Amino acid sequence: MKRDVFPKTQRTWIDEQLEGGEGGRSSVNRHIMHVYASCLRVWFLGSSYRGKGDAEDVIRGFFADRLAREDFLDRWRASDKRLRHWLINAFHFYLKEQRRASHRQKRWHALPEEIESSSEPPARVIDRAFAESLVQEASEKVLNVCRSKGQESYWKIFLEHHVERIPYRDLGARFGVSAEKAAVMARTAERRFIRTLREFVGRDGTKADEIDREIQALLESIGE
Amino acid sequence: MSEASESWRISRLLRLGLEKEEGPARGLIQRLSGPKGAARFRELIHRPPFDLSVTTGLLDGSLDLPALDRLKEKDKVLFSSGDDSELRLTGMAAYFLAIAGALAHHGQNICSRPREEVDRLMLDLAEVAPEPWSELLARAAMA
Repeated sequence: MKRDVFPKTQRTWIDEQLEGGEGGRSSVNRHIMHVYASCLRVWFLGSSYRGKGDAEDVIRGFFADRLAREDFLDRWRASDKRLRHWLINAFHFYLKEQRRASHRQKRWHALPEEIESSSEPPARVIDRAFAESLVQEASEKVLNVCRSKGQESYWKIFLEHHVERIPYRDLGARFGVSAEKAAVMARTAERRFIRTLREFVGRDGTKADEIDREIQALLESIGE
Repeated sequence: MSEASESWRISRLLRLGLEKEEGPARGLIQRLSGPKGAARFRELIHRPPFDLSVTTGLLDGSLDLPALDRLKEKDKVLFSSGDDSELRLTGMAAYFLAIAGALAHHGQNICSRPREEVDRLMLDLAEVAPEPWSELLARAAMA
């Protein structure tokens, strides 16, 4: 019987999904593959393994191997590490295993013993890739929610106002609503986005009261 | 999209995530959300401190700034000290509507919160309030 090392008060979306059986585990795996593939790709391409295989194939192989292991995420949950760092460590081990296996089979023998990092600090590179992926995944999720409610224009107005700085008056005129209504529509999408983004940061293993600090750190990683 | 503009997009959206969904207005917004929210809002504004002169004055701008400030201060006491949750909600609604009236009709922020935060609150309340209150709140955010 598994030891319950995860207090109820610290339960996260991932904890809840994992306790929900196969369906829940599949949801977690999908989330991990969507959000973290780019972190692994960036790390792989910055390592001396680059060019020794197609990044997408290697990452797919890694996910298939590790996510199929019953205890893989349990070990992460007990580790107190950010999920992205846990995955990078695991990916590192996976590549070493692949190298050893290939060596035994007289393949991939040219691979170096140790993996060299790129000139940029790896943690910063990973954090930047993670930040980009978080924003991308949260954007896609909220766009889908808005679409499902017939509110795609809410998302468009939100994005154009906040990213392209187009005034609500202009956006309202384009979407056939008043400037005030456009502002309310954008705010609806904005709140959904904020909630989703913070939830995704939490899924990486950040405690609720540390989410702001984590977002600040991610902003620094992209040069803010 | 260039790398620079993509970086700008990412940092702009990531920065939005620093906003927490907290504060006294959150409870009010939650209570007013959903299909029965509009009816609930109307119930609230039929209770003291609301009366015909207050609701009319909030909507048409006939309440001057000192009157709105007094209303806000009275409501602040009401929602801070009231044990009755209905009383607290009514006080909170009146408090934020007084601020909305001051912004929409007089262009003045009469509370100590930063303007950016007030604007977000006004828009959040506008989303759940029925007309003509929704319009007043949205106008306040845009003032």
